[in-house]
Amino acid sequence: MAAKETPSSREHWDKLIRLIELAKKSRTLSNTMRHGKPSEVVAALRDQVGLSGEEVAMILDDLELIADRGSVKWWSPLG
Amino acid sequence: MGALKLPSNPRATWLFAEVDSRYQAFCARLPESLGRMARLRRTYLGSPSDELFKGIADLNPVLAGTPWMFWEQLERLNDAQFLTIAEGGALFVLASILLDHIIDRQADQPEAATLLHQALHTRGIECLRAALPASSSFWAHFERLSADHLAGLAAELDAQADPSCMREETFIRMAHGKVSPIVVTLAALAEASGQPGILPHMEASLKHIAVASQLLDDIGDWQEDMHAGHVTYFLTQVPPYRNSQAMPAHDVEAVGAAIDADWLDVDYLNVTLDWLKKSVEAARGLACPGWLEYVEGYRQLTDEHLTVAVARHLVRVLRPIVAGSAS
Repeated sequence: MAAKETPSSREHWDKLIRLIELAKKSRTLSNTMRHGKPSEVVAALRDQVGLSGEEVAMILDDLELIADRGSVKWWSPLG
Repeated sequence: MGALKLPSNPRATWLFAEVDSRYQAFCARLPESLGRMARLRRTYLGSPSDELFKGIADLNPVLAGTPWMFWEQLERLNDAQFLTIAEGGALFVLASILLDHIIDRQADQPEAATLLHQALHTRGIECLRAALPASSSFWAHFERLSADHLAGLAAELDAQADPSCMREETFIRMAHGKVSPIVVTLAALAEASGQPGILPHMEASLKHIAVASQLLDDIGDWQEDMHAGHVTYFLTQVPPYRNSQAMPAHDVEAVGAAIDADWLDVDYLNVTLDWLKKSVEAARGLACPGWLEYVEGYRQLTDEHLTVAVARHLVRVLRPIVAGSAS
């Protein structure tokens, strides 16, 4: 994971990483994120990641930086 | 990522350079126009320029570099045996790359490419014949792998003509077929070194990474594939087009929305990771640190793609919720 690029707190950064890793691996959280109503999404983030609504707003910019990483090239092992 | 890391062993380095010089000698024996074609990078790599082909080091390491990626397992072969098989394998694989370009209609000059394919294929088999007697059980593997190659290419043609043929098992057969010419080299090296027992492990590892590689290509290139009307397994999994007889019209936006709605890229990157894990597991009992490092590099890269994809979807889902609660 790349170094943090905006000045949110270490705790928020840890929660952001936990959110990404859980969304990668946990079918339950991932399904809620994909198809849940906004209230279900907020509840899942609070219960499974420990993120309050305010914290979600605070981590969004960092999340966007990760989403916009253009440096990850689509090398293929046999390409 | 992607470059061949040669074992830190002067003999390995010398053998690698020697295969390259044998390739140059092969080019020099070809009729002039074919020799020119064989020395151009775009003949094998599709680059639009007139850059010269730098030899097997120019290719993805898995294509002609596997004898060095499994070096610790194969270095017991003497120089002559190793070189003859590595040369034959490299030419055989280059022939298969050209065949892919011809079938995909991407070959620069298809008629000349067909002739060069024949020259590469014939010389490749000559080398393998020189290294392994007719009685060697290698030839049974050669027949089996050649049949797999043909079946994979035929399945690809069928799927391009009728996308409903593109099922998971077809996709896997295609990927396995594509890697079969590479496995031929490893089968020859395993037999010649008196280690037939290592082939199933190397073959399984190569076949698993081939499936992962094709999926990674298809996920990364889905927009280009749509524009080109190229049917891929990943595109046939997008809900509106699942099980459809025809490929979607070039409505990239609609397909992008369907991929986003179901996080299909995330699902199939996870499937890719599973195949890469299987590739590592299959080779774990072998002495092949170079190969394991290579596969692990791609596992990390795929995981990074997954991180980016998940972050992108989370932003898409969370932005409106945050905006809604603030208003």
